[in-house]
Amino acid sequence: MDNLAALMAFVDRACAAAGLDSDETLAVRLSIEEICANVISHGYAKHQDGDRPITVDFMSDADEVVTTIEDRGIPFDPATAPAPMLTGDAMQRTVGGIGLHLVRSLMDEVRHEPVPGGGNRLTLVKRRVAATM
Amino acid sequence: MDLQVTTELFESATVVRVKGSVDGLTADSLTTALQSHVNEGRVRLVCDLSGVDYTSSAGLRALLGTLKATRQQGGDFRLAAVQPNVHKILELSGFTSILKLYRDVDTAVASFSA
Repeated sequence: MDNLAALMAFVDRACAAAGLDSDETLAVRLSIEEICANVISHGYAKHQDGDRPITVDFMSDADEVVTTIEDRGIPFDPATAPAPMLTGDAMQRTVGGIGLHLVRSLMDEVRHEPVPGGGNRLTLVKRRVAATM
Repeated sequence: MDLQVTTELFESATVVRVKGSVDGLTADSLTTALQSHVNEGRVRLVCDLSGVDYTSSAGLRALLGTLKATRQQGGDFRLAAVQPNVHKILELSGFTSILKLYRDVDTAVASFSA
């Protein structure tokens, strides 16, 4: 979790330096947090050796923000995740699957590729508002 | 960023004021703070989110857990002054249909007297 704190601080700095607006920053920050938390909780759950990297690349230009997250964990395509519970009685609700649902909702593209030798590469694309006007 | 959580007791409700980002690093402290009120029987809770501009699903877990715990004991958990980014996450997650939202703390507190 210490590493997650450092990663989120990096994300905040990168979003600010890139001049992202509030919506774009929300999409990027939340997506990176949710994906990395998922990798730590599930993809690396059986690995306690402390040597399981998550690589985050961040690129932005006037048209889009592209974030790539790569891990060496269990193969997992977010498109195959169970649908979250978004309706119904409060007492029956859970938050299971909501994180990935939020990523899919806030991003314009979510692409998954398996990494040769084991792992996942997720490419998240957020198109910038000014580019679509 | 650390999360700041303070409490103010009113006759009709307990107000928990939160300041900062609610994420995987801070959500546990919010859960602990809210749960302590429920454990002490303060189950009419208002969460002032005027100082919160970010929540991830970790924060939603804290809110849902508190909502269930208060309602199980005949109370309720209501939100006040939800900021646009947080409101967007609540909407996308279907939480606006299960949580009562109020424009400010006074209105939320008054709703428990109605």
